[in-house]
Amino acid sequence: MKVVFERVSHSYMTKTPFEKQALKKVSTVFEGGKVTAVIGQTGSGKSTLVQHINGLLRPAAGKIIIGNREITPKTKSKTLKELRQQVGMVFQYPEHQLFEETVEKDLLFGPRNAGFPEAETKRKLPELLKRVGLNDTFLSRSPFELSGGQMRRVALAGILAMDPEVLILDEPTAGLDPQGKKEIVTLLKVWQQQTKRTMILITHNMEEAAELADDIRVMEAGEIVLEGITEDIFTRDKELSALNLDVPDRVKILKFLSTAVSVTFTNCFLPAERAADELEATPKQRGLP
Amino acid sequence: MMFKHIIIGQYLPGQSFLHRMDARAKLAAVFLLIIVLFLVHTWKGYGLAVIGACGLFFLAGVPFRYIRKGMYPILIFVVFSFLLHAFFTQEGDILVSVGVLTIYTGGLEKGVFISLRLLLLVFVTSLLTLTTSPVDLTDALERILTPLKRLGVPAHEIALMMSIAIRFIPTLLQETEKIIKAQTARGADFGKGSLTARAQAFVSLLVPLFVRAFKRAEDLAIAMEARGYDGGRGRTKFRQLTWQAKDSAACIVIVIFGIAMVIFQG
Repeated sequence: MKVVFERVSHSYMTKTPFEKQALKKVSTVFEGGKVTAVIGQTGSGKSTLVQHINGLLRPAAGKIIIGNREITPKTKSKTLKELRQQVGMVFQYPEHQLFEETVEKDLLFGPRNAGFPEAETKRKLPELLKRVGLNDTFLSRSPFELSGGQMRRVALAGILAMDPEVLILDEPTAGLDPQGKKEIVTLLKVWQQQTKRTMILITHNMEEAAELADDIRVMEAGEIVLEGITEDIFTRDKELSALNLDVPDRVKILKFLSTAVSVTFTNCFLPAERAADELEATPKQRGLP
Repeated sequence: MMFKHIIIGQYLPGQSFLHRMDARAKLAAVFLLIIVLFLVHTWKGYGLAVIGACGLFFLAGVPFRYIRKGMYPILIFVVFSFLLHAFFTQEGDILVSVGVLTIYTGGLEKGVFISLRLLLLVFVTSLLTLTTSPVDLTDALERILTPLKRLGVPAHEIALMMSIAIRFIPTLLQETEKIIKAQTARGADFGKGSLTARAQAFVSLLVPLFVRAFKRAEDLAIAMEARGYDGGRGRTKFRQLTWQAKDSAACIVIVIFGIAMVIFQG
């Protein structure tokens, strides 16, 4: 499902002295079936942007088109319920939203609100838990006795249980240990590749963006300042560093190699194996050890 | 920001007479005024009390809409107690009689009195919170309770509890908003929907909110303990309360007002 923003503006605390424009006529397209990472500094408007996609925030001007649905400043909130099933949203620290006595009940909360048949959803739960790296023994446990990482997985499963067409993730790996981060990224990647759903990911972690995203949008002060496919954006390291943003390690390494031993790579965003091949193919007299 | 209309002990900075009074004096004055309000029981007395309240209002220099906002939440309570007294007190002459319901003049009078008393109580206390910063208020409370320390009253700890509670109101509101959003994204219905749907939505908000609040409290307690917090003993203050002549005068005026009221109302 494709998500289109057309000149969307949004302000917080309107009609007070603290009024702040968080989005300034943003226009962009999140392609269906692809992963788009939204990067930018804290306060650049990333969260505000994505909260428009399922109607948690209403635009002050402009419109958002999600599939065949539109959100304009005049959209009534009761028409949004169906949309919220189609657009799954994983907030920062999603484990804070767990509330039921058992994991099973918590996983059923979203699907029940969406009006899914209960028996069928229940049957799918073990598979769902496997998807997030847990097993069905967790179903009867209390979500509050799990570890932080396990809670995060349950919360994520609670959103995936609604089978969303568009999945929005606001820093899904914040506060996890490196191993946990890697596992969450992998399971998100597998889910997206199997279901071919649209995924929009807010992140501060460039490695994650490099690993998951097909496209990148860079935000700054309520505007999208750079957009394009991942390898293009991440090789423009000068522009990114002007925005106080970093590039993934692999770009840094290849950039360093290309100046230190004067190798020219096809581009600096190559995966490790391909970079190694190109390096090997370089004539020895270039001064390689 | 969905909670911008909520005021809980909202302080409005200012330079009025009440703003400049010592917080301890204000606390004592409010206490005395509450006693006076409970002594009033005639029309004359309430007339005087209302005049006194108007006087305080002018001394506070606070826009009336803030006081009105503070009074809204108890309006239901006021109406309820008015009706209760109006219908169930059987004194004086019969005023109206419809079926089983009979309203006596005495009942009506009692209803008006009790409503006035409630409104005046809220009025006086909101003036206190509107003109006193929470920091001053807790300091004053601590100072007033200090003599009771010998009896084992943990004065400093009570004041600290109050400051912490006030400090965490905005945090909890933020948290509430965040959880409401997260659960709305999972299809919870806070505004509309059937009663059961709304009740469940409410549970999905309250449970995480409480869990987080306890977690926060625990973290704070551990942080304080790790720093060996024992704030009550030998602590000096950066912000000093200063009791001036006008503070004594204000308290004396209120006592005189109270005595005059009791004599005058007959």
